[in-house]
Amino acid sequence: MASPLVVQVEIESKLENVHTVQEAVHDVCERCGMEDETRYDVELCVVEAATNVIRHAYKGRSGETVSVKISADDEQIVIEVADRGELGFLCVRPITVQVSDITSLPEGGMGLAIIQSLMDEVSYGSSKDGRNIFLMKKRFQGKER
Amino acid sequence: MDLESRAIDSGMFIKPKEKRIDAANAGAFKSRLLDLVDQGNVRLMIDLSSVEFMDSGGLGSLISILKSLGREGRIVIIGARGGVLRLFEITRMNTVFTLSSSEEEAMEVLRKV
Repeated sequence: MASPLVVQVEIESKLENVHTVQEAVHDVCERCGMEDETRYDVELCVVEAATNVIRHAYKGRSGETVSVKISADDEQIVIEVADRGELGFLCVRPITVQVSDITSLPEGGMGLAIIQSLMDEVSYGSSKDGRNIFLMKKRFQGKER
Repeated sequence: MDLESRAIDSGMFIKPKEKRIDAANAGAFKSRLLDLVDQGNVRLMIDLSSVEFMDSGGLGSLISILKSLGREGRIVIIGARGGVLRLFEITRMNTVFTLSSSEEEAMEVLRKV
């Protein structure tokens, strides 16, 4: 790839719009020649991040903006999910699976644990312009051509 | 939530017709399945072959349904592929749900419950 690929997407804060962000990430991953399994992981993580922003930073309010910037080259994809909601939805609960005790299985709250387990770097904080930025990085090897 | 359901000799066959089960429609999916459970269907074969994407919300709805089934209940998943199969693996929920490769194999699992 001659120069890094950069794509920006904005959606209104509605859960039914999150697929638009996923489609943009899918397109970038394909253009980078990313292996399918890694692409599944990256798509899942961006969906989980955008869903968390809508649910927690915006408390489920529609009419707000979720901005996603996707930057990629041949080795790494970087995704920034930005919002102007409340900071502080980063409460990671590990996914505990005890087959012998089905009642203990988690029915929610798995998103951040999934992101942390699949991405190489994850950070969350405020930018100078007052936005909250959820940043994820994933290194990858392209498909053999 | 567009969903096909029919009785089979070992339980109930359920096939969501949606391409995605995510935070946007997981509540509707869960509600449709809980209605079937309330009617006494506790051995479920869920065909995910039409589903191209599932997030933790979709998975959470399946876990809720599993919890509602009681000791006689069982869920066997068929048709999980691509990112959907990967979600079961990375969350280790493939150790909780039985994932079968065919309807026949799933039928056999449900008969033995």
